[in-house]
Amino acid sequence: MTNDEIKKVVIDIISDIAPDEDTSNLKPDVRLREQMQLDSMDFLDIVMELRKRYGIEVPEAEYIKLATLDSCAEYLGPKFAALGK
Amino acid sequence: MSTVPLSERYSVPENDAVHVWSAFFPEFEPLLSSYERVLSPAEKLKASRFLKRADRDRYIVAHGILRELLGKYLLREPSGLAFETGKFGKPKLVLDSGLPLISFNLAHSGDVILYAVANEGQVGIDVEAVRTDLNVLELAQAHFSSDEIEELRAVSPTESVSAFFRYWTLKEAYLKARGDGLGFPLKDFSMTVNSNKLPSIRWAADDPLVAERWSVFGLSPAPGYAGAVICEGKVAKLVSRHWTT
Repeated sequence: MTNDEIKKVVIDIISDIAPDEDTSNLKPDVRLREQMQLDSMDFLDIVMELRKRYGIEVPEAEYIKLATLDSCAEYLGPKFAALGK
Repeated sequence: MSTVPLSERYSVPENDAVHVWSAFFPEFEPLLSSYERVLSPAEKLKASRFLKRADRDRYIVAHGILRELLGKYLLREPSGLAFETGKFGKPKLVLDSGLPLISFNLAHSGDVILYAVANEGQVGIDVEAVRTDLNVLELAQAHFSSDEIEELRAVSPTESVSAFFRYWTLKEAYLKARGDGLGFPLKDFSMTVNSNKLPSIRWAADDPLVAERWSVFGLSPAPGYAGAVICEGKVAKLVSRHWTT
């Protein structure tokens, strides 16, 4: 998967979790929680969806790597690659 | 802004007390511009980053009231207060020498904003609008401790949503009090929620004395909302107040 494809995966999950949010203007280098009203519960929902949809496990100590769309792509890239995606 | 004059100083909570203030966002929406004026440049920048106007407005009101509220305790102008943040983003006051030590925490969800103010010891507060669109058992299964999951499974389906939010807000308040954020796994500590008793912290993997170290209160700030506040030390008194225009 390319970085842009991984960002789209994350945006799609956010859109399902927070359907009222307009995700089209998300800045990739600004923390997601600073751009929209995503609380901890929403964040854990994102982690859970990554596991359910793609079998990707994110340990608690690494949650911080999902802070921005850019950091999501950087962190999740090798995990998707390991799954052959 | 609040009609309470600046000269009216609020007494800092005693060692065994915590003050919990609630505010209802729609009451303060007309005062948005006056709250915006008291924010620091960093807070204004944060506010400007929200994509939705409603999120930006809530941030401005919540932080404007925070400054005004703390200003009443410290007898300082709201715009004159300075904050710094810990490793996981928990804000604290930067205080001049001679000012009383107070700690605080802020939470908001939907239209409800909650503030906790305590003396010296750490404090964490949380509020959540109870949502019915979540699979709460699935979320609990993924993130809660095994004894919490067992207890949630034991309650009736109609009660499981409100029970889940009681657990959630207690857990979130504990993490906020510690200043750890989600870096400390939710599975690594456990809460008890029993309608006949005060809630408590049952255990924490890294703290054998956790139950003695923290005082725990469940909150019902408004219909459809759950909340909790957790304070360091033996705190016996919770004083609830409503912030009004």
